[in-house]
Amino acid sequence: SNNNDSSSQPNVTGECLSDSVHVDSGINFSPLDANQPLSISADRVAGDHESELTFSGQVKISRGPHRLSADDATLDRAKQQLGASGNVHYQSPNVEVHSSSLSADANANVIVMTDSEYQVVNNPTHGSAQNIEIRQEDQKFILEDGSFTTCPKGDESWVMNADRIELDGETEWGEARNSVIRIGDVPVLWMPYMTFPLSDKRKSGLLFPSISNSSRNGLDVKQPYYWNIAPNFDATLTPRYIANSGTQIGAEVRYLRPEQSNQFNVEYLDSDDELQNSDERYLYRWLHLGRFNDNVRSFVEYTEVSDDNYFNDLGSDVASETDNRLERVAQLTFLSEQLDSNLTVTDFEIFGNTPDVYRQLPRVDFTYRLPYFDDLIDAQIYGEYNRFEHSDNQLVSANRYHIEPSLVYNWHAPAAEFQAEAKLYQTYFDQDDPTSTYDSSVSRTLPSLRLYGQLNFERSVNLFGSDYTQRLEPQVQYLLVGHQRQDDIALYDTVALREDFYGLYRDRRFSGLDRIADTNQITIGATTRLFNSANKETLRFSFGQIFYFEESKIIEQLSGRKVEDTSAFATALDTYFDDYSIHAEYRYNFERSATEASNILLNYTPGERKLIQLSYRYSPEPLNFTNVSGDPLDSREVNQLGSVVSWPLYDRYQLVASHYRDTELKRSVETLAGIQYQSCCWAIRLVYQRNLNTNFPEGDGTTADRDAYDSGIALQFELKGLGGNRDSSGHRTMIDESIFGYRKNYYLNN
Amino acid sequence: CGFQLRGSYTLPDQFQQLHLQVQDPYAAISREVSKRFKASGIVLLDVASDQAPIVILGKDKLERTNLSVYPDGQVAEYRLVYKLNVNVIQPDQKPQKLALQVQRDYLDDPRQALAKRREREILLQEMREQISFQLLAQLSSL
Amino acid sequence: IERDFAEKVEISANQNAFDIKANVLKYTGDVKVAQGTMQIFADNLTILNANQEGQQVLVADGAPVRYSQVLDNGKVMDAQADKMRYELNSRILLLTGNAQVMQEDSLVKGDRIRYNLDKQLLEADGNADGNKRVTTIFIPEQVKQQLDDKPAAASEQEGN
Repeated sequence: SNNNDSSSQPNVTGECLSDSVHVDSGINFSPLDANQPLSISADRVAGDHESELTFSGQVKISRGPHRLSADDATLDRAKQQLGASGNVHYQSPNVEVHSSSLSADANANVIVMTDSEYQVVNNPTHGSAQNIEIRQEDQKFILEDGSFTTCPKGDESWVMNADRIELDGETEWGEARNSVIRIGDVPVLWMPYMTFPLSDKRKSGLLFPSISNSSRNGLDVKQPYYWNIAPNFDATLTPRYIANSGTQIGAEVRYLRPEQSNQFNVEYLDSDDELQNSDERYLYRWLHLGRFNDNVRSFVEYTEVSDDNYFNDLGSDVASETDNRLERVAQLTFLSEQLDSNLTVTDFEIFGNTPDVYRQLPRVDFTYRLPYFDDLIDAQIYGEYNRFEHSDNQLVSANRYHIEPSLVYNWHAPAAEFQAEAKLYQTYFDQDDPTSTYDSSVSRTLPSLRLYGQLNFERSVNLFGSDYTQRLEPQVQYLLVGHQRQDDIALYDTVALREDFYGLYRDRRFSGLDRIADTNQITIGATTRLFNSANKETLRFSFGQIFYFEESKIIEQLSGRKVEDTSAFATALDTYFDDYSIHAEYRYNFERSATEASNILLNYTPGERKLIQLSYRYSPEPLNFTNVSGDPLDSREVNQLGSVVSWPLYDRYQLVASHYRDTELKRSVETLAGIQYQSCCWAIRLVYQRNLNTNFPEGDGTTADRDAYDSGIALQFELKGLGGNRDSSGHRTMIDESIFGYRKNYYLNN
Repeated sequence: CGFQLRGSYTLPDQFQQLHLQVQDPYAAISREVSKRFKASGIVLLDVASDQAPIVILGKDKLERTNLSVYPDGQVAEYRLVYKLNVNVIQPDQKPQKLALQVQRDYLDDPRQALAKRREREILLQEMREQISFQLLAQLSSL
Repeated sequence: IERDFAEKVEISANQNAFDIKANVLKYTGDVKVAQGTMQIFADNLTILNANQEGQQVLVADGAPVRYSQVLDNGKVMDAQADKMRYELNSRILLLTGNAQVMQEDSLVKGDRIRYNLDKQLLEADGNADGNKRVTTIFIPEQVKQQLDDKPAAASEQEGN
């Protein structure tokens, strides 16, 4: 019934479902319960005061927030047991149960109710059961031969019937034996045994199969199946049927302990019918996070895939289909007041025919901070040892030893800030080069001096009729770095850093330590901010430029940049007013009269679940890159226009659409359109997506004919409350399908 | 044009003194925030008291999303998003939650895998300094 | 309770009168009855079949009449009501009108309570039209709980 008068139906955007199904703590009949009296009123009482009393006629029992009413009841104080019969109505802060009889044992803290109907308080979850057992000790709410749904009474769109359903309040897991889920009254899913999350504390996600199809895979059905083995040990088994490829089995096992957590992912497909003579396609991954005490941490992330196009073809939760490499890291970290130190091993697997890269086997670094002399001076010594190796043994390998003492003088006042930093880069390279183009040992000593000054001006100003405090912060930085010839040092972990506004005030032009650019430069810039009457920053505009007094000899050789007297003029704008927010970065290189990497993002969010976003990103081809093939598809230039719209329709529909376009090649990068219908207790999403493929040539040089685009439709059905996720509008879930929605998590160990 | 040098920090006086409670005493973000607080004249109390505000740092989080792709479908620009949730409890007031977030974009290059990791380390340290500024600024708007 | 019945009965009051023909003894004004650990306080007390040993019936009224006795388990039982009727032979205590029976950790209130002292059986009900209900309240022994924290003591209590 397309009923758009939402007043008659509970507003479905989340109010009608509390976060999780709470399990009752049960009524405790033992009179010795220290804090609350137990009172029973009835028409008649009879029996032995000391042991057994029978109550009859509208019996009403209450203790604290718990209430029980029945026709008759008997209380045996010796055995600590209470029995009630005749339209028994039990009411606790979490659940309300109507049953024909109730028996409660105070010693065992168990209440059993027969042929009962239950309703969770302020939550549509309800159902019935031949027996309901509330075990107060381990917070269990057990239904025998019962039903369970999170839909409101009278609108049971889905119901689960099972021989036994156990809802565990502590671990917030549900377990069902021999269960059948009916939609309407059509049985759709039968499970001999299954577990399901009652909240998203431990595991959220679809209990229901997710069905999609794509031009590459055809019909693609995944059915996650949770198995809560122990409070700190669970597994998710995901059989997946892919029409064009075959049946894949996926498993994620998580083993969580107080001091460390481990997660293992495996995905295995014995052969992919889509590829000729395809052998196995698999992925396995180990993620380890350890925190043994405040000082010692460990971290391991190791992923292995069978071939470069694995993510692009089959997709995986573990990585985005646009990734072009796997980073394998093992790290041991020691942290303390003065000394931090890391032992890190890093390995890579690069997809496609990009040349292999250097590995760090290992890196040992430390930072020693001398205690504050007084708050004005920070002194620290940073040191690092690296062993660089490359798979191609014709290439140079090296040991690099680096020490970097630095002294920073900070002076702060409301009106001004001043910083002076003196640093010494001392690096020693011990290089083993079979082709002897690089020296076997090179020592480099470079001093660096940085002076930074900032003034803070303020005035009040009236704009568009409201008062603002405007702050103007001119910033000046002088940087002097010594020069030494470095072309006898190979490049292991060094690349030119992005020259955006934040780069103007950095004291280094390159990441890594194989090149330290000599420079004698001054950066001049300023930031202006507007604060509204509530002292909230509503606008921030910054600009600046670097002026070089001498030509840097290192720069040109490495980044291909013709020697210039100034950097690009960089600006950055962030502003939020009413329902609008704008983020923009623009850089213009006067000497080359060319725009450098720039972008703009406009957000209009007039209300909850309403968003219109426009973005444009431009990034020129890097100076040190030449498009050898001349094929526009190999260009490294970005001209991307993006639009995202998310809008509610009536109360229960949510429309989502996003389109990203390459304005240079005049073709779409990704088109995504989704619609979600949701009611109080279930949601269905239909998402169409067409996006550019990330095709890599096969390892053996052959390139299977993969089309440039992949398009498909995904159908997601979700039972809310049974592990349904909290994003009630479905916006985030639908947008996550986009190649721009994928969020990779970096695990911070320090 | 009406500008004069700022007379005093705009920090409301109830934040002149506060207790900084951190999840991870030796984490870089804890050090960065306490350095920024000290630098702007705030007295850090060793013990939480109910006369002075308590600032509780949550766990910091670093995420990466794709921003743009090259014509061959490989990722061109990534966005690093650094997040920090902070709870501020002012004397006899309900805790206020601040969800702080800063971001940096960088250009990816599979040929420079190791160097790009080092670039991320530099960006992360800069974002930690910037988010400490943002926390200070938002305190003055509470 | 058996011991009490063997004890001598002492009754004191402001005045008393003896109606030989009706075999009724009347006490009025601040009446106190004591027999072993059993005590009754009332405004007026009438003893029927006064001189038939073991057949006496005590009828008392007061604002309220109070009855207290130490039961076999050592617990004190206090009862009170507007009117009380106590038949020695059947040892049944009938309390009517705001009747209450109180033991250390439980209290029964109702319009009419019939308490068999021998078998310690109790019957209580509201009045005919049902607006007066019987209420039983089990009062947790906070004080007792805090005092003795030896588990042994706690379990012994639980079993009573």
